Amino acid sequence: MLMPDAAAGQQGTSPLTAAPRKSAGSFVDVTAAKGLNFRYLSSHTSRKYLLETMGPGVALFDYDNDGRLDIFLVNGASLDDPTPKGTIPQKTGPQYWNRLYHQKSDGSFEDVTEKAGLQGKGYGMGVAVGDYDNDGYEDLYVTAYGGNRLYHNNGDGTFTDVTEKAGAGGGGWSTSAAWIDLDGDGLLDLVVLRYLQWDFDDVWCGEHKPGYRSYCHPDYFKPIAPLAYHNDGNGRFTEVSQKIGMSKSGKGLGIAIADYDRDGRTDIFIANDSTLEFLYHNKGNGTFEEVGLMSNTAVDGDGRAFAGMGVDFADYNNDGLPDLIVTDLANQMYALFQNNGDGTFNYASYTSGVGPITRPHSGWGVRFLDYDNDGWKDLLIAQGHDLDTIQLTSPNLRYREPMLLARNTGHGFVDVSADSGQVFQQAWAARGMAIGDLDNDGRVDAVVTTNDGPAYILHNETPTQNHWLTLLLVGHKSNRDAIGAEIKVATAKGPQFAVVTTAASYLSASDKRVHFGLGAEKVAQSVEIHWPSGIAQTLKDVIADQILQVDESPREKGK
Amino acid sequence: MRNGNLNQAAEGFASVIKQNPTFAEAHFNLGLVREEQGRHQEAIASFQKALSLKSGLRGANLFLGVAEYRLNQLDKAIAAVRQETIAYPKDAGALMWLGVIELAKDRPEEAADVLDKAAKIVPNSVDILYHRGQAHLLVSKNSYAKMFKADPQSWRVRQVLAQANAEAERHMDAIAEYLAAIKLAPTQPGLHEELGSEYRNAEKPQEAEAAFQRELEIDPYNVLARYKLGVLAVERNDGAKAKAFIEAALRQKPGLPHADYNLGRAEMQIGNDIAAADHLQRATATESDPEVLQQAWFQLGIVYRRLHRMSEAQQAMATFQKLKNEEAENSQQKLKKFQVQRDQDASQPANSPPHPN
Repeated sequence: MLMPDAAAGQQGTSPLTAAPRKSAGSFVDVTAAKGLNFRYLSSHTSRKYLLETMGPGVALFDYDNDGRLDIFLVNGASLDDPTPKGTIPQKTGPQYWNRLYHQKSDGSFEDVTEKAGLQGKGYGMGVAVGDYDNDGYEDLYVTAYGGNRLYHNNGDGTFTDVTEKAGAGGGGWSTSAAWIDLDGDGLLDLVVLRYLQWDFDDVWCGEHKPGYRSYCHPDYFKPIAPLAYHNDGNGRFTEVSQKIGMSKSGKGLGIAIADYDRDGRTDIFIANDSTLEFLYHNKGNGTFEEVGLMSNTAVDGDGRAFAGMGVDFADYNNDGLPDLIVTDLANQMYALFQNNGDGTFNYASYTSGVGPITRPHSGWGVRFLDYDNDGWKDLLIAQGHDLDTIQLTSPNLRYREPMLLARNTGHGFVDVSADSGQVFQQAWAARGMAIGDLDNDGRVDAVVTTNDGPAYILHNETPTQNHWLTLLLVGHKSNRDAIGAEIKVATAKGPQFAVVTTAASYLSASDKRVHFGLGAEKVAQSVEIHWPSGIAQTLKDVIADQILQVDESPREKGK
Repeated sequence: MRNGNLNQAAEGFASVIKQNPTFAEAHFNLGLVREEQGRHQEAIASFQKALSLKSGLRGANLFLGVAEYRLNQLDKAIAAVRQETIAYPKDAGALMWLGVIELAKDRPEEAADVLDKAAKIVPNSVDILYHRGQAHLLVSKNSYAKMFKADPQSWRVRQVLAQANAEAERHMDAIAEYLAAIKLAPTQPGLHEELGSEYRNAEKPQEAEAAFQRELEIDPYNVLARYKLGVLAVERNDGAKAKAFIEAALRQKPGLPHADYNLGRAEMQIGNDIAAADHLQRATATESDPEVLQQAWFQLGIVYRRLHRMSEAQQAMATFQKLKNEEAENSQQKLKKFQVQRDQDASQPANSPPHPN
């Protein structure tokens, strides 16, 4: 069991604060230069179907194991205006296809969708990445309205749609999904969130005058339970949400995983829209208990529900305990829950600076990432309101908003967007966001999707002398992706913690490799890995500035 | 006539009148038909004939006035409807119409006067309340217009503009106007408190605090400024300061809104969990604002947990969840009801004064 490091103590007490600090980052839009030419078509109608404003997601993953991250982008489908109730939208042409972009050795991207067989079906929403059959190739799960698709990676650049055979198609309106080994059997299972009980009803929301019709608030619709698919190991999945205690109805949009109570088992947080947020505690017997209220993560510090959309679950204050950031709508403030270490969290939006920074904004995709490698996880957030009419009714708010970059000073967060590049001046209706080091230069990049607009590659060009370490974990007894593994990296300046996951953010899947900024340290004194299998493994004196593959040791040092 | 066969009705009443030309009610009913047909001149003639035959005939003066109003003969209309209100002073419909016609005559004060009377007689009539609201709105607008004309540079003008912006939730505009007002009247009591409230609404707590502090320098007895300083301190987790401000404000004016809730939170912040539980228990018993009530149960759940009173903590959180669920259910129902009503309104033509029956 990985225990909080007493020496790390409270936020701000780690010696890492002594590292030289650069105030701002530098992210550059290299979309066109890298040959990414994608547009998400949401088929906006005069009827303002809520579906139109919610997508899409993006995945950063290395599908062909060439060491370079590739990009998968989810696309919508055509909608009639009006669309009859009961319709399951279909992709009626290549403009609606999902797209797989392969990264070539020169860093540019080529569209390999047709070759890969990933054109997709239906009105897409999100994507989850995981090697569910442990064959060494990342598979894809694509969520949609009206049924999801599971694509098996054949290892030769092609994928096979195995949805029917696997029995993992689901139904309703699915959003974010996460691959996670729910029962510790070494096989990745799948949790799929669903948003609302919803259909193409012609419901008018907003004022009854031209131009004022708006998307309906989720309060108009009933909540719905998520789906939990157990991986049976034979290519088939069994839906077990009821059986494992994960069938509470919500309005799920974002999902993230971490072991919040340090009991060695991975827990799950679900960001629900405008209703209580859920924290599912893993009881260790293959079942879960929802403890949002008792852990203080269900509502904000004043007991108010908020429009939870994106989420990340990571240790931002280097105390060994994973914390939570949940994005929501303007005037609510993004919720930062600081882990107290006793099974409860403290609503820290006010005290951390996140509240004042984010109050006027609406956020979706979100990740903790150390953009300047100083050893403190910062925040990168995709923003934009869900209502394209918001400015008519709230003149101080905007539908399209620039991204937000907030620097973790070790004492709190400060907004450094204005000084971090032109991309932070451009107003987008941003939604999904995935992170990963696209060019393996030791600085974490991002890909952001926009609603009814392009996807953008944000290349991290932050000038820094700081060192870094990226770990690629390969499970053998554990699931091959090592999802759920916990890593503690210690340097002379203090420890840092992270969990291996591809899930988090909003509708999106990020690079499974785990990145640590090491500040001025050229060596990590130790790297401790606690694999989902219970195996503990320690590496000593690991040289910085490398991508290091670590295979799960066969030796079991205790659970 | 009730079936909408207006021509047939008119023929019927005309035939009755032919047989009995002095039958006032027949003339009155013919007038109603003509009015319904939009033949206002003929309606007026019929109502006048009815009144000449029976001067106190109920409704005749009212409908005569309404017909004259339709033809924009407002003075005549007012005279006729006023006759009706003199004869039948409890007739809220007649009073309402008098108000409507006074409004058309651009005399909102007179309109407000009679519409207030009508609202006293029938307090829940949507039509009366609507026109009464319109009249008072115009009275207020005219008053402000006169004020602007009398002294466009007055701080009062800026204050009114600030209040209007605040009402419309344009907080930054409101702040700008308050600052302009304060420039003109830097020591005017109340202005800094109002400015502070807008800073708070605009999520500028430091500026809000400075404004409330300044208000207390100008007016040490401003209880709202003192109390709001306490609430701000709660929000920034400064329990000791919050407690001092809130308790001082309560000594000045007991029963300030949400005081137990805010004191409970302040006590939590300084670790006085037993005192916090007492305040929050009181808040859960007395709080009338549904949102604050929910929050009080939520905080009570947290404080019970800290006190290791786990079953009470679970009970408090269960109550909190129940209130949340009820709120969600009510909100869903209200939204649906609102939507149905709005769809109905949208399918009707623009508002016109209701026709008296």
